[in-house]
Amino acid sequence: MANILRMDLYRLVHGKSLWIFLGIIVVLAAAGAGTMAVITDPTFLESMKVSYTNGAPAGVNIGFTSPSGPDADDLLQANALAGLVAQGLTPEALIGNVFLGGGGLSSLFAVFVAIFLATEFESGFSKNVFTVQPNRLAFLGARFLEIAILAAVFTALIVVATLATAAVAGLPLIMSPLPDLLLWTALVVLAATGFGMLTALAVWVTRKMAAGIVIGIVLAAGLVTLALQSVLLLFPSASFLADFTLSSCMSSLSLGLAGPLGVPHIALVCAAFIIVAAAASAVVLQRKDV
Amino acid sequence: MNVVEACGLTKTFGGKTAVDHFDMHVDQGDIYGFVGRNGAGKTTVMRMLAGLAAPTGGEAHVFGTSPREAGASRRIGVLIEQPGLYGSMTAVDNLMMKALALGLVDPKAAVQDLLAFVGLEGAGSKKAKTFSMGMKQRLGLALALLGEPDLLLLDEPLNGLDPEGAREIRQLIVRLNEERGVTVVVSSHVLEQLGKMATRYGVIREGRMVRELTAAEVDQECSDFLQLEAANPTLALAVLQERFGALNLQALPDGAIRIYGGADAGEVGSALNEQGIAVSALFTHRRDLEEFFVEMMGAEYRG
Repeated sequence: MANILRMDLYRLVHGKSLWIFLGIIVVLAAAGAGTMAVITDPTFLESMKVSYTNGAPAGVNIGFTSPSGPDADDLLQANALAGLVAQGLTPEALIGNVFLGGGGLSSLFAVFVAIFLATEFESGFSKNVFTVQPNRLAFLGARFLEIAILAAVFTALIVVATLATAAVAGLPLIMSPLPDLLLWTALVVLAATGFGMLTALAVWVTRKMAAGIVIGIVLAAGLVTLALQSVLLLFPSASFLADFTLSSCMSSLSLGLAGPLGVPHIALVCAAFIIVAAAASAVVLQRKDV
Repeated sequence: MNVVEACGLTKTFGGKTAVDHFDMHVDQGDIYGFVGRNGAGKTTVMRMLAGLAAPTGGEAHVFGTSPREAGASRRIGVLIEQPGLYGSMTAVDNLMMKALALGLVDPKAAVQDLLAFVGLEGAGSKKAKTFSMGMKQRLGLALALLGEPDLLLLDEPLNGLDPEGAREIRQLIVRLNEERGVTVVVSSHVLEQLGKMATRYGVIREGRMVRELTAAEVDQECSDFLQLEAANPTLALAVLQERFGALNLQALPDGAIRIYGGADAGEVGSALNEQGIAVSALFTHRRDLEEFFVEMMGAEYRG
């Protein structure tokens, strides 16, 4: 198992994909936290109010724009964010707003895991690996450890990059107690690991990068949870089941530890997904030929 | 000692039987030419011997143990179907990764040694995707050789190579066998190259081993022969066996008789005429390796 870890560490360091994804995280963190700093700035809010009142567009718009300028929704959203900042924005809430609520971290991580694991099969290098390491459980153990460590690296980077950007942009934050921040970070790592393991399972079943990426994104972006919620509308008594998904846990974590789902609930749900994905992976890896 | 021993090896995919009660015996020090048509089951057999695929039935032993155990103890090196390279990484990186997976004590030295051995010492820092087919095959061979295995399983290592590239790979295989004592199982459609290195052959057809024979036996059977067609093949065969006992006779399914060992056509014709056996055809035939194997791969062999 240690040899597989050493081999993969070499590949991570000497390959490009990890550095590209870490670079994307830094850019997104800077863009997200920077945008938050701008749109919660009182001057910006004032200019938005004036534009809304005059019905004229203000500043530069990138993307799809309405000729009538900012509408009531835009103004409400900006005011809500400004209210959040005024009440005291915690680092968890800021990071959650930028990376967790929309499935940014989980999607990025799932795509990375899919690429990293599937390349081994698509290139044919897996034959070299499985010849020298025929113990599929040792292989799985090494890969589980890697996914957990990489989830920690991705999470640590979004925390550091987002907070650094906030500090540079002058976004006022109310620091949470360190134990709370660490507990929240650990839960985010756990949820990201869950998404990573589910994506790994998809790769080991299909041996295809495209399939791994698509399945990973569908899960990580919360589309499955959304579909589940729609189905559960037909069964109101079972609506609580929607809280037992990784996406629900990640959404709750986007609001910090004060989200709707408690810490034990999140920890248990994430752990359950990891265990189930690992058990299914063990079966798949042992049964499928290389 | 049998390095590889397969007995009744069977592999099915869904309802299709790819390998059907397959037997194989490879001795220590052999270069075993594994011959068969596309889809005959060569690659599936190789994958089972490498521990990459589990047999549906039967047994395979490599160095007296299961293929997976032999692989874990670094005794098997494989190059199956494709070299299996990360194209965006360099030759050194590809080798380093496998060296680390093997847990070699000095992976850098092992990598440099093998790059030199396969003639890629100047291309170590180049990305594998920029390599020619021949360079990729040589790098694949280097990957298979990491850990100094005692058995190499090479599936179509000459595929896509020009004659010069095929010759280089063949020479590398022979060097490995002669200098390092590595036993090699090599499948290839390039029978001319195979004929220059194999010490033993196995012919697979529709998942079954048709025949295993030594290079000497192949040489003998590839030699020139007389072929005759007689009105009564059974009687003709009996007459010839009695008259030319020192020669090798082979009865073919269509009734024709082949006589190996330098028989004189005139003497054979006279012998049959004396017994009143009408001969409808009698001619000398020169057979090459390709014809010999194609015949076995494509039709039931009756030696």
